[in-house]
Amino acid sequence: MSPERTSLVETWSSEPEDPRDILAYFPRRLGAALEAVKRLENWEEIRLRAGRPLGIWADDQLHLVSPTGGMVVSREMALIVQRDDLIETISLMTGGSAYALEGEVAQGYLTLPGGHRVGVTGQAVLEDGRVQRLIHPGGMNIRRGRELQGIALPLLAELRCAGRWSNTLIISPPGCGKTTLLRDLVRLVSDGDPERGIPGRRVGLVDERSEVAACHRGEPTFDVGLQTDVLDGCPKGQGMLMLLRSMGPDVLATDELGRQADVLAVREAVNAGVSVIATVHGTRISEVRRRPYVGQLLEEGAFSRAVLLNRRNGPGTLEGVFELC
Amino acid sequence: MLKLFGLGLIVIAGMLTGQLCFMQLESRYRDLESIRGGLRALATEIDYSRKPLPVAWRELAEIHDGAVSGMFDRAADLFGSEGASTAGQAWALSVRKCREELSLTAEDLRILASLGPTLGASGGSDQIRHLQAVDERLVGQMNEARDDSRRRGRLFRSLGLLGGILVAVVLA
Repeated sequence: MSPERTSLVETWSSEPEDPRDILAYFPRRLGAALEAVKRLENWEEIRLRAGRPLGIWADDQLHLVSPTGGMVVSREMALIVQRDDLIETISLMTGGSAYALEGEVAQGYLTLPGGHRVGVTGQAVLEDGRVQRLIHPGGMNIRRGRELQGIALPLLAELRCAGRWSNTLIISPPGCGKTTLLRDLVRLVSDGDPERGIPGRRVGLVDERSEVAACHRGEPTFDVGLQTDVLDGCPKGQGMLMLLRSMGPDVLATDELGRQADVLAVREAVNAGVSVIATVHGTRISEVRRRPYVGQLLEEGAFSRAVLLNRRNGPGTLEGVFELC
Repeated sequence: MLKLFGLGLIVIAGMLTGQLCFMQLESRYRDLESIRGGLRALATEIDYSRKPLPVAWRELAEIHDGAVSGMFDRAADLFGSEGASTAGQAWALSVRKCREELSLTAEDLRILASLGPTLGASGGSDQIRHLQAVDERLVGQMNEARDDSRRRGRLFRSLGLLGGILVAVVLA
């Protein structure tokens, strides 16, 4: 394996999608300011917080935006986001229909067409100890979804063993490109790579948060491969078992393992001879080993490869591909 | 002969006036019936497919005839425009704009507009409750419209005919 290798940052630099497609989801006041921002194409996150300045996270720093779209340093000159702006933004993002995404919003996020992920904060309303909904929204963080084809190519050889895909865990802190890498990996596993003599495989993708395939009414808007079946918006554990029983996948893929049900499903898949590719939050393998459920899988040897990402040289910096067992 | 023909025309005009008034009453019932059917279909879309309102409105406008089709279509067009950044605002605006085209009373329109503040603003089961509450009130309005149409419709038609005859007799 290759500890401390080069980075994939160069291959992450192309941006095929229109960076301004997001503007339709903002009320006029905010949309007009954002539209006038000169380097909007570099946006990674747009942050709205009630009573605080409108901010864009780009080029590894937060820029405050003025009402005319200028980048300003002083808070006084920045456009201050009002609570009504947040309410209108949520309304535009949900198509004016809170019920359509109530499950997601109760968990503090929603996903827009194009795979952009929106985190929402506010006052939680609990029933039986579980968050039912968020009222009085206080802040939003819109994280950009990216489709970058070819970024997983340099890793293919290391993720295969004896003609099979290794059970692989992609590990990184948030914002380092786990989901983007998983998306391209799923596409490549599904389509294969004739140049390297890798045949395409049937892939089952459980996309609980609609971030990987960015499905719109059941159809993926990102290219996740010809042989990929996507179960959209379904809990991972349940979804993996459903795909395993009904779609006959060679490889199962999912984003952000964490719950006990996810672990049980991964164990079931691995024991059934199906390869699993998944992501998990973390900075080091040792850290993931200490986590309650996913750590258990690592101890059992369910995963044989780990891909570590960080943002040392920007999102998608590859720390290395490591053998786990 | 010509005089007789003229008097006949007066009687027919009276009858038609009465019939027109009756049809006006009937069309209120039909409009309410169409809107009620559309709102019930909307409740099903919300409950079963969880489609966002602008999408559901557009789809239902295509498969429904009558008053509700235009009302849904207009609400879908208005959503996201100035003053209609919530579905409830788009609905309230649509109800207001459709007022001229429909035979609804001020009370009918008030009931429909009362959906505005809650439409799309809460979870699925809550939305269904609001739609059911409006449906119940619309049933009341429909019953009233039907009774009105039966009672006053007969009266208008008789008055039209009798009025025509009366004018004809006076002129004769």
